[in-house]
Amino acid sequence: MGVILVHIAGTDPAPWIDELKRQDPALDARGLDAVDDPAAVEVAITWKLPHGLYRTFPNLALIQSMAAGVDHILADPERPARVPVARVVDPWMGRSMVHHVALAVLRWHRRMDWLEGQRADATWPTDVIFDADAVRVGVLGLGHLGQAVARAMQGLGFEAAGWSRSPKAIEGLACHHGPDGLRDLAAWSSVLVCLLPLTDETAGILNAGLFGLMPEGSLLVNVGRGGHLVEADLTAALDSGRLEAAALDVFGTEPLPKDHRFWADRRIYLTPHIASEINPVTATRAFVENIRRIRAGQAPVGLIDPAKGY
Amino acid sequence: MPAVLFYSPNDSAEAWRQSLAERIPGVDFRAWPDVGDPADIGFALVWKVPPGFLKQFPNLKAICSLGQGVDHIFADPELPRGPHIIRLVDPWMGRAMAEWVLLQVLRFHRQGPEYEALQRRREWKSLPAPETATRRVGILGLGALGAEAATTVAALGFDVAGWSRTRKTIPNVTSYAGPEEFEAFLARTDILCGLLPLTPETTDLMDAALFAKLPKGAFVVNSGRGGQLVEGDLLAALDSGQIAGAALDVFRTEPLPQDHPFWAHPKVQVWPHVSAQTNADSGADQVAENVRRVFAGEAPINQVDPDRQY
Repeated sequence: MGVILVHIAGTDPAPWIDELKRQDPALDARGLDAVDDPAAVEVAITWKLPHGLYRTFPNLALIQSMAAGVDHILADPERPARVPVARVVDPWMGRSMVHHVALAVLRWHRRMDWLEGQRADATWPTDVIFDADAVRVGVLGLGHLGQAVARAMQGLGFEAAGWSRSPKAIEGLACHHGPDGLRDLAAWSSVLVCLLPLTDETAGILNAGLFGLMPEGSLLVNVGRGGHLVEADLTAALDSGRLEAAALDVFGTEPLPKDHRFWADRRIYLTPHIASEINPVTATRAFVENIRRIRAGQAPVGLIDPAKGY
Repeated sequence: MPAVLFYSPNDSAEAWRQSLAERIPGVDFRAWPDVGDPADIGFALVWKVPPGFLKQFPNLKAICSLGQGVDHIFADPELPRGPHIIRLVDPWMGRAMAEWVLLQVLRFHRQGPEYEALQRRREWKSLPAPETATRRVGILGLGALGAEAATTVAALGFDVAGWSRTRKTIPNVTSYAGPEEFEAFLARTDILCGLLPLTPETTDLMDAALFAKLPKGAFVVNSGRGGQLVEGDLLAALDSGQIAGAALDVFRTEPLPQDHPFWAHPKVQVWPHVSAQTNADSGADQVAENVRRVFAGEAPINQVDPDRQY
């Protein structure tokens, strides 16, 4: 039985190590500092492990992402190609993501920030109209999280549709695909939610060309990765009124630098990468299961295809 | 056929004239002040009529509120005793109210005010996220609006209970009933959502005594009626920390007076009575059906018991 390495960039891994041992006392879970023999590392559970380190573990049998995305792992050019990579599949993350997106959509739809602005001079507006039928939510990315978000929006009575790179059929949900499908979906959507994996094909997908197709006064919700968004194009779309607001949880550089213009932009609902905050108990359950599977010679849950990037 | 009188300081007479004309060809629709002979009026469609107004129509068969609430009708000391009192149960309103309640629940649950403040301070910091399944939402009033709000919030994974005068059976919602179960309901409620009709029994219901029975740090939402909330008691409970914050859509005086302490209070979000608006299109089906029934001598639907006043 090898070592289970736990590494979370910028965060103490101790609570995760404790939870792993609580759920399975036989596990030898350690942080990077406590790894004395690289050859002993069997599984690496990571968020942003410094590039070049994976290749120093000759007996590594699984790279388990602590996130739904694996771009931080695939970005390491020296990652040994023989080691399987798994993303975390945790039902709790889906619920948290659904809540985050629903809050952003309702905040925009019910004009919370505009009403808060009226408050400054104690104004009581009398002609406020909300049109729920005009809320049409287009979800980019129809994986586990994308489908959960689309279903939840339908549950709230909003229309929803989705897009993925390759064709998908999901009962009760209009699914678009490919470049033409993306344009069709953008033209239809008054809310676009990005839940795509970050790959060469999806980098920069949220750009002026896409915003230009959307109806006036729309909402953008980016809960994918910062690299999906062309930041300069977002500011231009907000200035022109094409987009009324943007809920951003992910950024090209995290933490977002103090002097970034997004902080002071009141049209941006800014959150510090918390949309689908991972739950230590339920995510650890998923990790323990994948360690068991790897040791039994089975494929892990959430195994990704490095060629596709997700 | 007798005439239909329309009176409302808030709603569009033209929208209602059109909606009713489409459903009742040849309807004699008279918008105040163009009433003609008061003896022609057989059906009154009203919102907030002045006291003594309704007694001038000798042949009135029914008085229908333009909203879910009928307290504005019963507030008239000279209300004629004969006519049926009807309220509007508009399916669109139920959905709009559920949206609004969910927005308040999600904003508090996901620490919206704290993250909004962090953005203003340019601070990148994730806060500990409480588990959804342990967040207890309590809906005060399980009528048509309360039941739909409860179901909507429960569908997103929250622990939801409701309190009403009589026991209700709603999937995934725990029912507390009557005065003897009121304290137990309050003791298990972290987010209290007021959705009661205003009656002599519910006037001043949300007072210091009620706040003291909630767990410390509870959140208060009210979209029932302003008369149910003792505003000074809420301010004191916010100061002491017993109540963490409040989102209010209804007030004792509307519009909220310019010098009211709620306007500038950092822990209170003020909404200008927009949680659920009446929609002429969806409400008209029900009004048209009741006009037909009343003029045919049949009992109307959604009649109010004058003794209970709801």
